[in-house]
Amino acid sequence: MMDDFKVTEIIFGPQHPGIHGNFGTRLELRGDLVYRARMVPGYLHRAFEKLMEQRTWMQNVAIVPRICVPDPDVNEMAYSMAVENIMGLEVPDRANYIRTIILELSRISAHLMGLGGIGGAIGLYTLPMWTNGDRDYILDLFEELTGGRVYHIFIWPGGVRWDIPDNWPRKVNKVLDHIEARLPEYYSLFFESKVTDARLKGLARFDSRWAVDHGVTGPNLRATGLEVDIRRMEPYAAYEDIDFKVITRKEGDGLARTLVRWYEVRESIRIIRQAVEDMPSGEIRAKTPPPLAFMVPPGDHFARVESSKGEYGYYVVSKGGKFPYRVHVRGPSFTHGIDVLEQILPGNEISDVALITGTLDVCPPDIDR
Amino acid sequence: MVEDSYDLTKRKDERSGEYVPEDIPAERAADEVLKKVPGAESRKRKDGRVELNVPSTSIGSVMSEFKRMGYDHFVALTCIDLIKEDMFEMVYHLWSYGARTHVYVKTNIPREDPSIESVVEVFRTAVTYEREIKEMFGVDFPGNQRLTQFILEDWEGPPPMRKDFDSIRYVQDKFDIKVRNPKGLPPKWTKEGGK
Repeated sequence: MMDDFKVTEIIFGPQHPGIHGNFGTRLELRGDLVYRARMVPGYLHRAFEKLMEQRTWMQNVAIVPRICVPDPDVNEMAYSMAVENIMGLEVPDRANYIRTIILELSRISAHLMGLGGIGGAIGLYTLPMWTNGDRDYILDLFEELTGGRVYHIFIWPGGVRWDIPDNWPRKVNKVLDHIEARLPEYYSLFFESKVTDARLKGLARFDSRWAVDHGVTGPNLRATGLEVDIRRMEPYAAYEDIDFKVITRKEGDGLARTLVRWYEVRESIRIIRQAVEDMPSGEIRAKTPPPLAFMVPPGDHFARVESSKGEYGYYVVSKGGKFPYRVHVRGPSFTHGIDVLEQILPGNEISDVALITGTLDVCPPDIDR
Repeated sequence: MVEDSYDLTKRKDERSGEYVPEDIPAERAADEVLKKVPGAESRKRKDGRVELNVPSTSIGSVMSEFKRMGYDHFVALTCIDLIKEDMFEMVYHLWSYGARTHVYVKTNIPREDPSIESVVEVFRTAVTYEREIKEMFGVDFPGNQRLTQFILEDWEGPPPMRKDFDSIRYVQDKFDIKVRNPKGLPPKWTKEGGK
């Protein structure tokens, strides 16, 4: 019966307003239902892993944040953690607290961008305007602290680049107050809308068993009811000393994934407030060799960080000397952006393709690297 | 012999049908694997994790052993080109959500005509990693049905992530940069052809 239908092939992206980033999807459609989906990554491939083998350890710090545009700091963190572990460096407490603030600010900004993307995909264009407008306040904070709005290159092996300015925590609190006051407005705009219910409820549902088998991590896995968070399971930075809740939902559908992100913004605000409050004084960087003579003894380490999209890992191999021997980046989208999407898209309507990609928060740069 | 309670089929909570992570520390899991796989060696690392060196022929059984013991998150698969030893080192990163431990499973394969059994049957996640390594290192994975072109489109050169691939030499040979007339491109895309 189905064979009587005409199969239409559509190249969805990278030049489509609904697609997330430079990413292509080859869809075979029967009517408006997806029959087969094939992901086409590679539009952002800049051979970072190869390039990093030919750059010094410290030059690489400037390369890694480019791997994930909306959430760049996790790259610096994971790379630094791997290098520190091989070198046996002890990071000072104050640096760990500053790192925590940076990482959580980055998480909020990435979640706001992701929420806006989902709003755009259902035709609610007010939400991306609001979230991106509020995200800009966070970028202002980053600009003041690091000099860069998008790529900060602030977390270094051994600590952070410099100390926070005196009035910066006050500005952080002001921005957090603003975003916290805005969150209920996002909620009533987006989650209380009937369109959201109709579009997101039951969308691309999977359970925790399936998700673990397919390598889904982060908020997407927590939306299936599993309480897993690398900040809790293998604490890094200052997360061990900070009280926070791991947000989970039971449903495992598009709405649950979006809600997890919304609640995580609130939780991140709590984490930053605690880190600002409890910030110890002291050094901000361990003693490291000068950048031009930065050598790392032979060894290897896999460092993992909880990013806004899932598990971010850096496997760094050193054979001694001025350059890394191999750096392998495990991006969260590498699993749920290719194989998972190819399996859950069939059977959905073409109008939901961009939405499913959005609720999974696929970030194409970390697939391509 | 591993007790029956580690059986994967029993790990689903009967009432709610939800996934319950298993809790077996890495040292114990590695010991179980060492008993079953001849030629395997384990090593305690200074980062506190467990590293296991196994023969490349037994990688499939090692993976299913670990999965049975709760190491069901396949984190990543890394290929390292050990050009001096004339080997490729494959590193399988596994993580247990229950025990919260990480295991490195390492195996070496010869650099000449490299091939290693696919672990897609055990860990579905491996499918994309193997696809990428096939393209970037030229390692073949018999058993993986999805080893199609991944990132490199219209690629004719050798696998680019190998250590003996010289990026600058390749670009100079393939593209004539000075006259901005890349040899490999169709004439309509070049400066002269666009006139």
